[in-house]
Formats: sequence, C-alpha cells, structure tokens
Amino acid sequence: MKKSAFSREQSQLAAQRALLMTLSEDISLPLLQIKTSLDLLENQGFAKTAARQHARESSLSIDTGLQLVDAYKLLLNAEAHAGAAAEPVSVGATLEAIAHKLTPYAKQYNTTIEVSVQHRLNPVLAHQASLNAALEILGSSIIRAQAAQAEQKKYLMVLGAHKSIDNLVAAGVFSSVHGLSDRTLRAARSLVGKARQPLPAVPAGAAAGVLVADMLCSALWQPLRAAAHHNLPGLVTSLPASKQLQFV
Amino acid sequence: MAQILLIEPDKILAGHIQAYFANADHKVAAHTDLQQAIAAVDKAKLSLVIMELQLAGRSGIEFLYEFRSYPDLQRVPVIIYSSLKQEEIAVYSNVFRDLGIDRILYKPEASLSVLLEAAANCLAPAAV
Repeated sequence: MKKSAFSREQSQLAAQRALLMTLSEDISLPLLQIKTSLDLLENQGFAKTAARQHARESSLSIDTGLQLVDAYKLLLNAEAHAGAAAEPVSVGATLEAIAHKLTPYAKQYNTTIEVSVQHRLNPVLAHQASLNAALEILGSSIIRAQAAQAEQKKYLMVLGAHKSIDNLVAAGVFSSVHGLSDRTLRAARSLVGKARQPLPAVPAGAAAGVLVADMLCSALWQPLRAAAHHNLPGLVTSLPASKQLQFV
Repeated sequence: MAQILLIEPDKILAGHIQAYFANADHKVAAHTDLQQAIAAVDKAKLSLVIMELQLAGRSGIEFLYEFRSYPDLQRVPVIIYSSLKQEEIAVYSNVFRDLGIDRILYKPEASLSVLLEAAANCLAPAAV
C-alpha cells in the first residue's frame, strides 16, 4: 500500500474512532435512563401501575438510542446516498412526522413541539431517510439541552423551514438553547473525539446528537449553521429546492 | 428528614433519583441550573449534595469551588455521581481532596441503591 493511501486510511479511521467516542456519550444516556428506571421499579416492588409508566419511559429512551444508531449507520453510507437516492421531499410533511414522533419524548422534558413552515415552500431534493434521521436526532438533543440549560416550567421547540438564498430551503430546529453559534459549531467539529464536551453549552448526552446531525447534513447537503426563525434561534441545514416540481 | 440537593442535567435521571430517595424518606431538590441551585437551597438545612460534573455551560468543579466558599456549606458532604470514569477524573484527585468530596460514583456501575447507601453513610454522622 502506498504511503499516502495508508495515511488517508489512518485519518479516516481516526475520524471514525472520534465519531464513535462522541456517539457513545449520547447512547449511554438512554441506557442510564433505562437502568435507573429498572432500579426504581425494583424499589417499588414491581407495582403494576409503576411498571406501566417505567415501560413507557424505557421505550422512549430505547427509541432515542436507536435513532442515534440509525443516524450513525446512515452517516457511514452517506457517500452512497449523496446523489443517487435524492428525491423530492415535502419539508412540511417531514417536519410534521418528526414532531409527531418526538412529542411523547418531548413531554418528558416539559417541551411542546410546534411546526412552522413558510407558506408555499417548494419540495426539496434530499435523501428522505437521512433528512428524517438528522432532524430527529437534532431535535431530541435540543429537547435535552434546553431542559438542562435553564430551569423553566415549560419549553418550546420549533421545527421550522423557510426559503433561503439561491433556491435553497433552510430546515432545522429552533429553541431557546444558547451557545450554538457557527463559531461554537466550528470549534466543536475540531474537538470531536478529543473533548468530553465539544459543545460546552450543551450537557453530555446531548452534544453528540447535534454533531452526528451536523456530519450527516454535511455529507449530504450542507453542514448545520446558526439561523433564526420567527426570532427564535436555532440550527438549520440548507437543502436544494426540487427544480423538477417547480414546473408542475 | 434529610434535605438533599441534586444537580443533574438530565431531567429523567433526576426524576428517578428523586423518586428512589423519596421512598427512603429523603427530600431531594433537583436542579440543572447551578445559580438557581445555590439560590434555592436552604443553606442551614442542607444535609448532602449529589452532583454530576458534566453540566451545561459551566464546569461542575468551578461550581464546587463556589459552593465551598459559603461558610455554611463548607462541611456539607458532597457525592459526585457522574458519567466520567475514575481514570478520567483522576487528574482532579487533589482538587477533590481540597474540596472535601466524600464519594465518587460512576453512573454506569453504581445503581440507585449504591447511591442511596453512599448517601446514608454521608448522612449518618450528622444524625448521630
């Protein structure tokens, strides 16, 4: 093997290792939630009413962990999905579906999810499964981060999309989470695998979701960037509008 | 009844710890925001602090230094209940000694019963 090919492989392996380390942080949180839920259930003598509640909670924690694993698997195959599998996708319908899926999880963190899509928004050209996975793990990370950053009775998270420049559509997650600027994202990208908390404003167990979503978006469209939607700050990815459907 | 301050960034984990301790007649006040935690706590009645070191926006160690700066809180026992492994926080061993940390537990290995037992051990001298 040539030296340059070897060093390229080494750097790819290092990047994968860094990503896995980041991922393990976020996967350990749902596992801990299930573990403590079982501890509590045992302590409550496996009472039937408590068992139902803990089963529901554990199921949501499992879903969150699986979302992350799915996103990671999509990321590994991102190159294959980059061009070939792109199809016209309705952003509004996608965000509605994600909101529906995340709502039970969000309720645990006293968070309400709203969908806000600009009127007459064109469909976008994207790999549907990857777009779903990226926005889903970004959303669940923001739910956790928001509840960890400030103590409030209720929180709001908006899944939003609006027209952007150059025939692009910006779609993302908006909330009152602070400390997620373009600058902190750039710093976090360089700290992946090196720091326990690459995003200092976000607690452990929420950062990897943001970073995996960023990598997935970066591999398929454009990396996450800071943006605002109806004065609410957030992170978006820019997706190309589907030209084909504009003429329909 | 012991008054315990819990600083845990994840609301679900905090809820589980609160419920587990409530079964053992311990009142746990859970906070994610460190400033609110300091403000909300009745310093005279506080018996124990259980905290995660990895918090949002601020270092847990920085918080501990501030916490110990209050004369009323210098003798309150502190248990670190964290996702950080022993070897990862070994570099802080001198800091923890200076800050009078009573116990360090690794979340994936310490069940809630181990945490409760550690808490009971910390609270025992005060009760005597």
